[in-house]
Amino acid sequence: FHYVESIPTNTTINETSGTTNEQPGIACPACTFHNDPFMIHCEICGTQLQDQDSMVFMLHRQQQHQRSISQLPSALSQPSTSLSTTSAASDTTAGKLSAPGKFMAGMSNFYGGSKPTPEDANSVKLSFRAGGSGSFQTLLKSAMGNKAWKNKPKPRPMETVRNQSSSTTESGSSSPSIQVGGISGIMRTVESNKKVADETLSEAFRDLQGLMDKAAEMVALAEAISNRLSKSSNVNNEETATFKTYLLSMGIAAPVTKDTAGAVFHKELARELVEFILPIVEREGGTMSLMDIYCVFNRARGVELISPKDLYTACELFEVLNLPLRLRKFDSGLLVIQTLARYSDDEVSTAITTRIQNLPPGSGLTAVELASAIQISVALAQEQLLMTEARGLICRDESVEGLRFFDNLFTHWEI
Amino acid sequence: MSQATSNAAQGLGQATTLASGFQFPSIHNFPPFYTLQPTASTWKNQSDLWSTIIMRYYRHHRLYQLDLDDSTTNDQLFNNQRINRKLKPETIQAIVEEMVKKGDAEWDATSRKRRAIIYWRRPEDWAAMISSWVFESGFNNSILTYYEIAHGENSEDQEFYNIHPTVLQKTMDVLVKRGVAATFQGANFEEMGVKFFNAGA
Repeated sequence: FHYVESIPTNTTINETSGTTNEQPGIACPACTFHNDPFMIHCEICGTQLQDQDSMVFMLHRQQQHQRSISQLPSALSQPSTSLSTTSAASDTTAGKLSAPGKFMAGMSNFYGGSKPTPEDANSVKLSFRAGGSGSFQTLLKSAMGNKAWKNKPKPRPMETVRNQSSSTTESGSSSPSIQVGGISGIMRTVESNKKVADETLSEAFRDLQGLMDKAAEMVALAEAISNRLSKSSNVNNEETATFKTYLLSMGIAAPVTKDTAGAVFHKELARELVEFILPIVEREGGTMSLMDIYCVFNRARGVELISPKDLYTACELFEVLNLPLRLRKFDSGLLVIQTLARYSDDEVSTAITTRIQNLPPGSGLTAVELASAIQISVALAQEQLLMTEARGLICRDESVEGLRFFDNLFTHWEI
Repeated sequence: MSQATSNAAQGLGQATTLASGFQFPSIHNFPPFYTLQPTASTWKNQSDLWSTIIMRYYRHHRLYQLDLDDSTTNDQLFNNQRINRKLKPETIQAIVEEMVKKGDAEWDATSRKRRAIIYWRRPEDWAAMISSWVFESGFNNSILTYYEIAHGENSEDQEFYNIHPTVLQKTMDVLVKRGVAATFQGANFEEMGVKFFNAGA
């Protein structure tokens, strides 16, 4: 649902006017970088430099782009004025340079230079020439600190739709009268198609927006109840405990998202995951399959769902971040999360051996029986049995009835 | 033996006793005993137990050759109808393979590991037994045929009566190597002759 709000990592700043003609070389029409006269494509953004048609095309894209910039936080929305002023001021103090507008934004993903990788999709390349990066960073930091985009009043779904539909009709009525052929005609068609698509999307997700707003309220309510419960201790303990587990599985108050965490998303996610899942894993006996964790975790996150890949990446970071959980891959490929120290293979295998030894004579233990007895998944039970078997503590009986595990009587048998 | 008592307490039930008087140990009633154990240490213990049972069984019944395709013997030895478990031929083969490694058995070179001689007595032991019988019976310095040793009237009460030809040949090889006896070619295996020397006594 990220499209609804403006994404801070997508902040793009473009310099359209300024120092272009004083310096030798060809200014890129897209990012204003001063390229060597012999360059055909811009070094920063890959835009074609010398073709007239493409210049028209780029200018058009630029206008479009500036429209999207105007939705950004006010501090960043007028880059050519506010930023160049600050950079000029800082440069004066530095006493080295005075020309304004010494930074360029290379938007390789926008203008199709190199092939964008997934990382590129949410990033901009800023190139600073002759300084100014420091002041830009200061400004950007303050904007991030203020969370300027949060101050912007949320457009009401209805309004948005109405505006968009009206603009669609406008463009629809105006386009036939102009009758422009060639590239600009195609551009117009593309743009109107895009508007229709936008409208469809926002209409489709309007209900979800409402759901998300409500979900936040629900989480707040759950928190309030849980706080109240923890204060009043005289309530029936068992009921309270049950209720608390419900609350626990219901909500993580402010889930880490790619929006809020950005580049450190997976690290933050790993921390949040450990904080949330550790008590649950301990309750489950120290080991849980990754699939179970994915379900529990996503349920708790409410609408801010994460992908399996994100979860896996986060789990891989446990060791680097020195967190008390570990991702473990069994030989069969089963992935589990284990608590670090308390439930070692030794303890698990000893517990299983004891359990098997205490069974009625002659009856073995299957993975399914173990799974239901200690409330773990069958795949995990199977892995634990195989691990115990590999340690020579139990042995197997393979028959038409399936695979059963028995105490290893061979070890000490004397005949 | 105290171990055996606690083994019985494992609920494996009373050991099976065959009509021939052979009694299986109670581990014979343990279901995992019939599955090839994938864990190396467990498998070693398991195959050792099986090899002990096989040797006891073969000694009890004076058998020499184990044939994977001989269902009569295998059904009695490797099939436990009480718990409805039996060894697969490939598991038996793996057990024999372990026995071969220890020198308790030897594959018949022509059988592609389908038949093996079970050495419940090693050729060296047979050699000592046969030579002492020869000297006690006063056959030394005279020539005996293999047939007389294995199937003759004089050896009827001996443990090597009806000894398997391969085992007998191995035994004679041992004696010849020691310089106790010399063999003479005959028209066929049973007419092969052997002469024991005094010096060997």
